[in-house]
Amino acid sequence: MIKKKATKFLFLTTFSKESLIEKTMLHCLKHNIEVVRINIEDFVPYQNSNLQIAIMDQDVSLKVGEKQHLLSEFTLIWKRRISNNFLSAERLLAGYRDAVSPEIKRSLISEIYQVRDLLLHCANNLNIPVINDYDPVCLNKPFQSIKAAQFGLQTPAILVSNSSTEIRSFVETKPAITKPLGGFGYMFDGSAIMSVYTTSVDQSYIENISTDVIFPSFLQERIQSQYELKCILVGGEVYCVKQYSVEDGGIPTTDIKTAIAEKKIKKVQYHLDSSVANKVVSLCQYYKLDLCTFDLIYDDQKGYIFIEINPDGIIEYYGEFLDSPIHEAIFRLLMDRAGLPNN
Amino acid sequence: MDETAIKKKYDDLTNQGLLPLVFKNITIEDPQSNHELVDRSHFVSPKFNTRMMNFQYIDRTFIV
Repeated sequence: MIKKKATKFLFLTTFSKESLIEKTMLHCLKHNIEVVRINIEDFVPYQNSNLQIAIMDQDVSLKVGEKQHLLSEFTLIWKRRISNNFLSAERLLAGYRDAVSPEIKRSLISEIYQVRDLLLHCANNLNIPVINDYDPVCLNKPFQSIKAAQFGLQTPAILVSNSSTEIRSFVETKPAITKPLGGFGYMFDGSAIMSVYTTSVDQSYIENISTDVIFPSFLQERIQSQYELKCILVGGEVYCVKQYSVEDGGIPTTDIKTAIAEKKIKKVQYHLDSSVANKVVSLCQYYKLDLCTFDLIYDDQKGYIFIEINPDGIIEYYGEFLDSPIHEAIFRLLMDRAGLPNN
Repeated sequence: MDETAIKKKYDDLTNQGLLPLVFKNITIEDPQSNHELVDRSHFVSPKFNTRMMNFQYIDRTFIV
């Protein structure tokens, strides 16, 4: 008689303080599902690291504390926020700070990514479903916009160019923002840690550019709106939060972080028109996204306008404004992908 | 280097065409108030621990 494999989930994460993973784990435990969590920072030696990984021809051994697991024992893998930012943060390789050059450190980080990818390749090889095993193409923001238009969504005008002439003529004709094509994460300059975010571009912003050819930059038409929609995709379901300014002046599209810190922004659950939701779901399916956030803006004349997808977006933050716990929706998604009943 | 000098440095490099336009407006992060930059020793065990549930949710930085 063939012994039925016990249900066991692997959560592959980073050392993030986000408690979404813990809440989902608790929910799984409540339903008698064993969950093993490993953080990819633990692939490198550190004072509290308690993970030992051994990737072999046929299987992968994961020793977490005193307990040994084989990759083939897992019913499913959920990978969460393992793509950017965290590994590039200096804290991961803090022990290497003065030991090796920054160039070697970058190579070491790249090597850790290879270990992470190898683990996921092995999972695919063993036919273990991986949640949010998205196509990396979706990390490219301008292409998201190009693809969204193909799926019937309204999108702002975009320009990616290294020509200061082209950029000037774009900014002359419409209000604009600029943002990274993909994302830089955190950057280090001596002891300073820097980041870059979406920012407004007007004529004065670019008047001091002194060369005809510049580093390629991404510009997007700036859409003025009274509110923005922050949406969470879980499988084929869309949960939506309306984000609006408590003051009269409409939603700030560039300095939202400051506005939130100053408590000028409110958020409430919102029912998104199903015809728009279906188009974004199709776009996300194209990218093989199971779990992500995406942004829309509502314009009085044009209706809903697609802005961008964040493949590893802040799900828990926006989930706080919904009627039902988002981790329960994630649990249903995991169960569905594992081919198990979810109630 | 102080914050103003760093911002000026990246503003100048962008004006020279060496960096993407978005670098004209860099943000200097405060590692003490940004949970993603807090040294790992300040975190609790990465192993599953119900104590994690007692953490008060705080506004997250917008990184993506």
